[in-house]
Amino acid sequence: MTEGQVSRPPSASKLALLTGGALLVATAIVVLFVLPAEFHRDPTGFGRLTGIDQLAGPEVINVANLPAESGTAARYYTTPLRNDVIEIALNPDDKGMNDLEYKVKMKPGGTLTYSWNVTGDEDHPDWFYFDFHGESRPTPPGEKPTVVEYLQATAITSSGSLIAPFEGIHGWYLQNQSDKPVVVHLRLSGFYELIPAGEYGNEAGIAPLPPDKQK
Amino acid sequence: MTMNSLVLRIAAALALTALPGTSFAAQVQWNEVEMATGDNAAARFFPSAYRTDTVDVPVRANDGDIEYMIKMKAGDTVVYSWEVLAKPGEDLFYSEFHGHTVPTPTAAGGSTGTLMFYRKATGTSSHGTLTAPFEGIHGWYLQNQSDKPVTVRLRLSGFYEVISDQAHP
Repeated sequence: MTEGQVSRPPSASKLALLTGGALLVATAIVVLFVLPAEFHRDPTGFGRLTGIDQLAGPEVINVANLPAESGTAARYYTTPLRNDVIEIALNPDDKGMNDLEYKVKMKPGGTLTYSWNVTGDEDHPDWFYFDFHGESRPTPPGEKPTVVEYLQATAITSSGSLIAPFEGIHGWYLQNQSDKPVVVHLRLSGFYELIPAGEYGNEAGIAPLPPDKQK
Repeated sequence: MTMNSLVLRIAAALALTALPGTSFAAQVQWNEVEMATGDNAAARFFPSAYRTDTVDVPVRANDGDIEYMIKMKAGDTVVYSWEVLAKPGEDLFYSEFHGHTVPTPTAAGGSTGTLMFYRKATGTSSHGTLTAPFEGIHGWYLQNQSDKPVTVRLRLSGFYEVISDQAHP
């Protein structure tokens, strides 16, 4: 081979053929593979036939994934949700009964929704104090129980949800600072257990209303 | 609170402070931890009381399907339980728990939105909770693969809105 030799360019017709052939192949790839797999366009039915149309997921939808640790997601339980209505009387004339703690048992990741309101002294919403918190129970021997504060405030109504951060008892310290007897009307729904009367977390022995009185 | 009880309370508090070992606070060594915030918040608070609904959703036989969805804002929480009444057999009922944003039109004349699947499963009951990852429509696609019509009883509690006149295919 001589140095400097220039290869002969293809003839115009061969060039046209090559270009056209490449175009044809590219078009076929786009129509058969790219459109069905990426853009939900399947003019030939080839995408459905081969299943590659599934690669793109449902049409014009951006399928999002959540970080594994995110709380904004779904959780599942083996038991049906429960609903309870609980009435708690706090009477300043009844010594030792103007404040108490009412909590429920929850496993880590257990979820409940709650709403409560106080009747009896609606004119003084700042005379009712509460401390919504959780305590780890049971506590392993030699370890300190963990406590976490959710909300401390004065108000005669509160609504929210809780995803228990650890196994334990979670609920409210309720304090009536008014000189009138009041009743806290608490509703709960979700995945939790009531604490039997007299046990830690329900030392006041509060019982839920029977099902026929719950509405 | 009366003056007397206030005085008593202060006296008691002082006495307990003065005699460590006798007060409840002194008996328990608490390990206080901060509550997680943001997406991982344990507790979320809402301005109004939570709602509770029980909905019976009929699903036709032989691959009859229907969607039942609710509206939620980002961070809203719902707890739910549903079960197929008169169970058709665990393997004959399919569901997809999912959420999507309200689709917005695109320049090309189509529409676009975000879709997230929470769970696809075969089975005749499910109990769970959702804290909505984005504002939109969240709920269940239900498919009855048996040859008898069934009813799904769905119980919901939480912070959401129901959608009236949901399309029954």
